[in-house]
This record gives sequence, C-alpha cells and structure tokens, in this order.
Amino acid sequence: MTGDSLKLPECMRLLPPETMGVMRRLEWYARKRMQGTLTGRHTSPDKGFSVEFAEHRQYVPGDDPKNLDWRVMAKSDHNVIRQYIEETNLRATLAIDVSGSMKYTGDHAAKSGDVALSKLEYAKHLAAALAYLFVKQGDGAGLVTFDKDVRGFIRTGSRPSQVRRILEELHTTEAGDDTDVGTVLHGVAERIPKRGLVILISDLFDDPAKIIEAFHHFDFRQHELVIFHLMAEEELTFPFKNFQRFRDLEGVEAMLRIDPQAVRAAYLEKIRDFVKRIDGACGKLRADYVAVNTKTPLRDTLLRYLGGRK
Amino acid sequence: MLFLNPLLLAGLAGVAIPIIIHLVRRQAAKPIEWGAMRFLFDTVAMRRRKMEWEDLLLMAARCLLLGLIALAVARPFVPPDSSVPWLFVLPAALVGIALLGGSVVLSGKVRWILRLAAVLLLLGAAALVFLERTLNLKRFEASGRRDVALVIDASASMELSHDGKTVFAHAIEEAKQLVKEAPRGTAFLVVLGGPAPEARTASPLTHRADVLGVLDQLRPVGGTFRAHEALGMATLGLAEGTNASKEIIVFTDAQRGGWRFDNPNAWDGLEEAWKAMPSKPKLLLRDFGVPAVLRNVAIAGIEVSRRVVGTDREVTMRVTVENTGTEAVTPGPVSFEISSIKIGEKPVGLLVAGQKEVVEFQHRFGKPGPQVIAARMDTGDDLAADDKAERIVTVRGKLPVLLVDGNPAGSFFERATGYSALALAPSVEVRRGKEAGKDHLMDPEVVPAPELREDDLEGRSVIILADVPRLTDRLATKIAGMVADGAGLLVIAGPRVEPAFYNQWKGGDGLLLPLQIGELAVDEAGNSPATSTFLHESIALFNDGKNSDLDNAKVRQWRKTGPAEGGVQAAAFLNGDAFLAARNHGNGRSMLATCAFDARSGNLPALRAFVPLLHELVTWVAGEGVNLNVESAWSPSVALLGSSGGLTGSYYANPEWRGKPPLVRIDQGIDFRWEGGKPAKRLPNDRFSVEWRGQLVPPATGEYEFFADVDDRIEIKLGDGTLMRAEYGNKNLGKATLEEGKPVDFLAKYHEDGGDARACLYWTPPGGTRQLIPGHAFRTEPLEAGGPMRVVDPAGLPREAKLRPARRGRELAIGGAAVPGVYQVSADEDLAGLVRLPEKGSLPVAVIRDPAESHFEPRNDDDLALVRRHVDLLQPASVGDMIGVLQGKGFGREIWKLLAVAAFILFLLESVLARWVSRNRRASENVRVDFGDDAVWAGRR
Repeated sequence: MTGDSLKLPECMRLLPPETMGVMRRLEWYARKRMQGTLTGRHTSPDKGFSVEFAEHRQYVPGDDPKNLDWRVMAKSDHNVIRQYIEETNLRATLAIDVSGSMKYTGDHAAKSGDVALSKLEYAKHLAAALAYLFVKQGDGAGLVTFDKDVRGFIRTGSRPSQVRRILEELHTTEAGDDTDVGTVLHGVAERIPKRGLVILISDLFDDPAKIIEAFHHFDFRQHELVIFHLMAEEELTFPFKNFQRFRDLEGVEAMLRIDPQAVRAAYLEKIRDFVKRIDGACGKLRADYVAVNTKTPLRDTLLRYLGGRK
Repeated sequence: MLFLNPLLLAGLAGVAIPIIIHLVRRQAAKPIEWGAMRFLFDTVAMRRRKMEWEDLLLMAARCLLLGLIALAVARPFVPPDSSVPWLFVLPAALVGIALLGGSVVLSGKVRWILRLAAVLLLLGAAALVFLERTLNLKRFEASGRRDVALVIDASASMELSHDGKTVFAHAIEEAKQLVKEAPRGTAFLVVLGGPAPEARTASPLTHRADVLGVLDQLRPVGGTFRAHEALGMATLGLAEGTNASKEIIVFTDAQRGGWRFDNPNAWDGLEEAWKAMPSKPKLLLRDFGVPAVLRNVAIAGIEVSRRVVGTDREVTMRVTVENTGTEAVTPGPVSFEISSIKIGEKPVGLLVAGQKEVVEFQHRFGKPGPQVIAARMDTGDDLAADDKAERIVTVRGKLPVLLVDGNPAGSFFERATGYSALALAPSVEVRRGKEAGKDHLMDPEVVPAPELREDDLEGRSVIILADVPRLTDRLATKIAGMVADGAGLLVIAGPRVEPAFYNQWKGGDGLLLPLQIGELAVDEAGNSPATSTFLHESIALFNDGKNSDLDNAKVRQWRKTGPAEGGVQAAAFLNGDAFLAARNHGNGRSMLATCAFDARSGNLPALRAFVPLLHELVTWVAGEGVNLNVESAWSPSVALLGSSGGLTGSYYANPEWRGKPPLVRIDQGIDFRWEGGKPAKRLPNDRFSVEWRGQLVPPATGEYEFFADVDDRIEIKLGDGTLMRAEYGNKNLGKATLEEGKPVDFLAKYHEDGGDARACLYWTPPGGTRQLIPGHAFRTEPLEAGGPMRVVDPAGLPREAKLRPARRGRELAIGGAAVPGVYQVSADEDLAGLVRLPEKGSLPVAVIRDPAESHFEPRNDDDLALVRRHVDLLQPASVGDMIGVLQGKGFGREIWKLLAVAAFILFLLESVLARWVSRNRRASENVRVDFGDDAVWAGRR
C-alpha cells in the first residue's frame, strides 16, 4: 500500500517499508472459528459452500441441484449433497493501552529509524503492522485505544482505506494518564459484538486480578484473545545502581527517592510473579500471550510470533 | 573534656563528607520517568523500614567514625577534677554526630526530630566544652612567670624503698626533672618538709643550676612531715618572690598525718595567707601513693609500769611491737638497752598484718636521774626508721614528802599523820630531821602543824596537810606557789579542818582544792568507798575488787563536799559522797581526801590496801615531773616546771639601777627582810637597788589599798599612771581601782643605801583584809632567753639549745627539726637546777616517733574535700602533668587512645555492616524475570 503523492502522510511513519516488507510475506490464521460477513480464508462456524469438503447430507427438495454429488449418486443411487466448510473473513480488533505508563522508553528500546521506541510507540508500530496484515489478507481490522476510558474506537473494516484510518488514529493518539486496564477491557469486550480476534497491546500495569477477570470476559464472548505484553528492558531487570528518583508516569506527581539496589530483588520478584500470573491465566484461557521486550526489534517480534503461529 | 589541639577540631567538618556524598548521590541523578511505579511502591512500602534502618546505621557509623577520628586528633583530655563530666559531654557529642548523620537518610517528621535532637546535643556539648575551657583558662592561665614552691616530704616514711630507690629519691628526681623542663623564667623555692620544715632557698630562684644544686643537697630528715607548717613556710617563701603567679607543689607519700585535717581552722589561716598573695596559689599534690605490698614491723611504743620510778624496786617496761605492713613478718628479737647497756633480749613470733605484740622487760634502776631506755629490733623490713624506739625515764632518788600533822599531840593512833607516814616509809624514826633510809623512794618527814615554817617547805615534792585546821597567809601563799610550780598537795580533810580557810585558798590557777569542803558527816556503822567509782587514774589500780580490800573500809566520819570548781571527784563512797577528788593546779596537782587517815575516823589504815593507796595518791600528786619525752613537733622543746607567777627582779649592785644587773630572778611577790644581810652573794650588803617588773592581775574588781613596809625606799608604778612612793617604815601607799582579771603593768623600784634592808608589799583587796600581795597575783615579764647550750642530736650532729620563756614558766628549746631520737643536752646551771639533775652533766631528751609514720593511712576524700575548700587542689600523676600546669594549660587524662580504639572498632563494624547490607541487596542480582525473547511461547501449545 503506497501513497499516491510523493510525500507520505505522517501517519505512515508507523508503518515503515521494512515492516511492510515483512508483513507482505506473512499471514494470520485465526484459531477459533470466526463469524464474518465476507468470505475469507478463515474458518467460520457456519457451513457454506466453498472449497473444503465437510460432509454429505441427504438431498431435500429445494436444494440447489448444483451441489448434488453426482459421483455418489452414480455409485449408490442416493441423492446426496456435498457440503463444504464455509470460510469467512476475520475481524480483528486491536486494543491498545495508551496510558501514561506506556510512555516509558528506556535505554535499550528498539529503534525505528533513529528514534527509540517507547512502549507506546512500539505498541503503535505493532498495531499498524498488524492492521496492515489483516487488511492485506482481506480480513477486517478495528482499533480501540484506551487509558482509563476508551479513547478512540474504529469499527472493523476490510477496505484498504481502513489501514489509513487506523494509522491516522494511532498517529494522533497521545498517551493519557492513568490506566485502568481491568475495567476498560470489560467495556472493550462488550463493544466488539461478534466472535472475533482481540489483540491487546499493553503493559498491563494494573491489578492482575482485574485484568485476568477481563480476559475471562473476552473468553466468554468467544473472542480469540492475543495479548502482546509490552515491557521495557529496564522494567524487567531494574539495572539502576545509585540513588535514583523515580517519577510516576501516571497520574499524580508521585516521586520516589530510593536506592534501587535495595529494592531490586523484591521488585523483580513482584514483576516475575506478575508476569507468571498473567501468563498462567492466558494459558488457561488458551489465549496467546506474547511477552514483548521492547528492546526486541519490531520485525523480530512479528516474525517470531507470526512465524511461530500455525 | 578539653583539647590539646583545639584547632584540629575543625576536622569535625569531615563528618559532612559522608553526608555530602549521600546528598550528591541522591540529588545528582535526574529523575527517571518510571512506569512500573505500582510495583516499586509496593516494594518500597514493604522494605522501607528495613532499608532506612540499614542506611541510618551505616550513615551514623560513618559520621561517627569520622567524628571520632577528628576528636582523637584534637587530643582531648579530662582534667582530674573537672566540673564538667566528660562522660556526659563526649557521649553527647558523639550521639549528636551520629543522629545528625542518621537523620540525613531518613524521611518524614522523624528526620527533623532527630536533627533537632542532634543539634541540641552538639550545641550542649560544645557549650560545656567551652565553659570548661573558660574555667580552665581562668584557673591555669597566669599572667607572666610563676613562682613555684617545691615542698618535698623528708619524713621517715619517705625512706621506704620503692623500685630499688627510696620514695624520697623518686621525689627529688621528679623535682629535678620538673625544674629542667619548666618554662623559662619560672622561679623555684625549695622547702624540705620534715618535723621542722625548712626553706632551703630564701626566696624563689630563677637560675636552674642553683635550684638543681639545692635539690641535690637534700637529704631525708626523718620524723613526721608537718605538711601544714611546710605549706606555711612555702607561702612565706613565695611571698618573697617577684612573680605574680604562685604555685605550690608538694611531693609526698600517702600519709594523712601532719596535714592537720582535723583542724579546719588551721586551714583558714593558710587560706588567708594565700588570699593575701597577688594571686592565690594552686596546690599540686604529687602523691607517691601507698605501696601495695609493705613489709614493716615497728616498735610502736615503750611503756613504763610506774608513774614515779625510783631506785628502790624493779620496774616493768613494756615494748609494743606492731606489724603495720600488709605482709606477715617474723622480726628478730627485741633487745632492750638502758643508757646504752643491753639488759635483755626477747624474741617475737610471727606477726601477721596489723598484729601487736607486747614484750616485757624488768629492771631496777641503779642511780637516779634521767636515763635513756631504748628498744631495738632487727627486722630487715621496708622501713628501717621505726625499728627502734627511745624514751627517757626520770629515775628519782628520793621523793621528799612533807607531812603536816594537824593533831600532833594525840596518841599515835590519833595522830593525823601517824599511819600515813608509816605507810610511806616503814620506819619508826620518821619524824623531824630523820629520813627513812636509802632503800625507800618515799622520803617522808612529819612536821606538826603549829611548828610549820617556810623553810620546811623547801625542796618538797609533795606536801600532805593531814587534818590541818588552817595555815597562815604566808604559808598558804607559798604552798600555792609551789603547787603552781609543780609540787603536789594532798589535803586530808579530817574533823579539824576549817572549811572556811580551805574553800577560799586560791593560787595563781584558781582554787587549790578540787572540791569545796562541807560539814562533817558521822555514821557509826561506817561508810565504805565504792571501788566501782575508782575511775580516776590515781586510784584506777584499786578499781578491781581483787586488788584491794577498800570495799571493807568503814569510815565513821567524813566531810561532805560542795560543788566542784575546777576539780573532779576521783572516788566516792557507797552513799555517793565524795571520797577523793583531784585537780590540776598550774604545773602541779592537788588532791582532797574527805576523811582522816587515822584510827578514830575509821578502819582505813587497818586495810591491806592502805599502804599502796597512799603510795598511789602520793605518786599521783607528785606528778611526773619534767617530761623529757617530747612529742614530735616543729622542733623539740621541753616544758620545764617553773615560776608561773611572780615578778622579774633585776638586782643591781648600785643604788641607781645602773648597768647590767648581776642577778635577775623571779621573785614570788615582794616580801624580803634582808635586815643587815644581802639579797644574794653577788650583791653588796648596802647600796644596792632592785627593780621588779611584771603585771598585776587583780583577783577581784574593786578598790585596792596598798601598803609597804620598806627600808629604804620603794616606788611603785601601776599601769601607766598611778605612782606611789614610800620610805622608811610601814607606810600606806595609796589606793587604786582595779578590774578583775585585767592585767596592769607593775613596776617597783627599791633601793637601799645603808642599814637594815626590808621590802614588803601588802594590799587590802576589796572586802578583804590586809595581806601580802600573793605571788600568783603577779605575772612575770618574760625572762630573756638564756645562753646557748650544746646539744648532740640523734644523728650525732651538733645543735644548740636555749632556755627560753614559755607561756607558763620556761622551756628548753632545741634548735632544728624534731627528728625522733635522743638528744643529749649539755645542761648549764639554770637548766640543771630546773630539772633537778643530780649532777651537772648532760640531759637526755627523747623525741618520740609519731606512730602514724609507720602506718600508711592515705588521705581520704573528706580530707581532700577540706583542702579543696581552701585552695585549688590538683593531683598530678607525673612530671608532665605538673609541667602542664606550669605552662598554663592544665593537665588531665588523655583519652585519644580510647577514641582511636573506638574509631577502629567502629571502622570494623562499619565494614561488616556495609558488606552485609550490600550483600543483602546484591543478592537480587541473580533474580531474573523470564520474559520476552526466549521461551515464553516457544514450545507451548
């Protein structure tokens, strides 16, 4: 998808050519049966007429005679109709956390061009690439941005202009303040009406219990849930040595003077528990949990995830 | 707490280093915008308290470490008697530093509380140090140079050996070192302290070599260290110095004797002298302390069993040997010498510390006169000076006793003196003109009362008035004078005595009798003396009923007694009436027995105890005579019994009182009838003149009328006004109003041209009758000191002695310090007469060693407190301390080592703590979160 003017729109920074290059070679297969409006490559729970055979059934008057399996009739003199698995298109909703904590960049963050990507930027890039992928393969892509409320919502669509809309939206979205991932995700789950694919890109810095409850809500709505859990390298290793002041990226100007070494162990324990808990919950829900360290280049992340997905 | 290098206290600023590092580390980093605050907050909430504690401890330890080092470098010291307790100041400062450091790492309100507390503590400590510094400066800072008195104890106890040298040698060594190292220009006065402290330099000397020379010449004196007097001497010497600041340094050992701690008033006097100086001196007491182990056995004393020692019988001498050390010692045998001839040797067993042992020797003295008795023993102990002791025993050849019989006419049994004379000397020949014989100490002579003449009184040691009704004025005055001069008087108050006479019988020292005599009491059944009341020393021998049968006495008539006036009841009857009473009168003694010692008054003479009783009473009233055993004092002086009253008569061999009188003597009043004769051999019969000088002490207030019976002329001057003259015959001189007890100058000038010579002076006291003016009403002008006599002191060195007037009578004063031992005085005529030396020769005088010198009884806190009330007392422990004082810095115990050790310990603690904390925190290095790249989904599903 290339722009028609020489100057690319600014939002295209989220979808640099190398990403597009990678995405062209990749495809996304839904695991659950999707209910879409268009015929596509994803298996739908509804039976249809398509390429892949599903089963035979007795002909009843009114059936389209073109579906009669003549070979069976010739062999057994039964009027049987061939039924095929209907393939439908996938409707993916990208849910992106734009809360304050996503603003964290860190020293090890992957770069796009010369710019180190904050978690938010990483999320945006990831979302842009996925949106492009979906639309490219004819599936629908939608977008929800949220911090403590839903900030922006683009319904799923599969027209090529959908990518542009999503990119524009992403481009204009700035980081908000607080996160309330748990609560907001319930709202998101309600808003997406049919079984579909929900791709949540967030650092999930909230009460894990609430988050897991929200995941259950998605599962209940029979969405396929993919979680890209973004964490910066520093957040995972806490490498700080000397006394530091930590200013909260979210909400009130909370400042903490602290000797990082003194708290490192306890902090890392907490993070590990947190990650384990989320991971475990995802495993139970058969949701894909993708731990993304923002130091990993975007391309690698995409390749590994999409390449590993069958 | 003060500092030798106060400027280095600036190092305390170093305490800020860890604080600054901490603050810089905390402030420098730019804040990290952090997303995962939720977890951080949780973590911190969980660990904050522990972390803060760790940080606080670390920071406090580091600050404290630097603070300790800074303090140690400033070399703090604690003055010995600091008014500011360093045990408060130092902890306050350190706790302040620690809190200040610790507060930096904390947050919240606690931080400010800690800081406030820290600042308060630090300010408090600083203020106290400053206060002490100010006080110290005030105390030690002196304007300009100093005069320093070095008082060196040279007493016997300083000869104790200590580390191979005597303590005295140590003292001299320190003094020399002090002189060498003292600031330039310091002037030193050297006082050698012994029994008679002696200033060895007339005034403080600045030239060091001179002072060192003087110190080199010092030798131990022996005897007691009269510290108080030595201080007085030092004070006098310091007053000669020209420098404004004065110090006194005393080098001594641990003995409280000689300091007069029991007499605070004495210290008041010293303090006044010190206050009069340009600046009050400080007293530095360099105490060489008590040896921890002391081997010492001392001869603590020699006692003689009899009060009056004669040649007639054996005397027991008891030598007390005492272990005054801390170790058990078996001394060698005690040998006993009399006049340098050994008469016996007796062993002493093992003596444990503090044990006393008494060794007895018997001896019968062969010849009368003062004799030296000495006890020695060979102990080989630490202190040799107390291994011998000497005493003088005055052996009497005879004790002349005059018995005046008030009832000479009766039968033997009724005679007042019959039994008494027999009791004193068992000879029927005892009466006028006979003596008992050479084997008897007592030499009684009986004179019937009516025949008693003045001449009979001459030379008597004891006068017994047995039931004598009354005496003439002249005899009464004479006897009173004798008693005042040392004779003894025993009044046996039988039925014949006239109480009116005795109760008014006065001498120069008040009434003669101890009690007033009252009415005669009669009890036919008999009254017995109660031996349980026999507590007086004169009859203590009979206190024990086993020794006497006085309990069985039945006294049928006795005298009641009135109130005591100056005397004491010595023994009583069972019914409580006085039996015996005693008093001291002047140099002599008088005793009253309230019942006659004859057969009519009771059965006393029939008792077995009668003879010893009479002997005891007579020896008691005889007194001990001149005591030649002198307490260790400034310099030895023997109080001689002599005229306590009278007039100083100067006799001239011309009628004009011209030139130097050939004869000066004390006359008991003016009562002379030379008639055709002459007053003395050296004077002519005619054409001589006499001048009597003295003071008249009136016995009562009122108008006195004076009379003279004179030939040729007499002129009397009373006070500075009244002048009275009389010539040829019995003349009324005039009247004068005098006040009781108030002395008036008295001058009488008499001259004789030719013919009979007579001079008698009478007065009529207010309410009285005409009488001779009694001798005791006069007080002599002090006689001039006699010529010098040669003395050999215990060390064999020559000294001089003089007879000089004393407060009462005269005294023999030997020059130089009273070092214990025997002094041999070559007595001149005057002295020989006064002490009744049997032959002209040398008179031994013993100075008794102060037994305290053998005991090491340290000055206690009360003693030092007493001194502190009067003077700024310091107790330096080394030459360095004393030099510190002389340099105006003071001294004290340095505590930098303590601080350094504390700093080292703290350093170790800090290292351990830091390592522990860091390991505790680093433990998290291994914690890793599995996330991202590897593993998360690989292989799953």
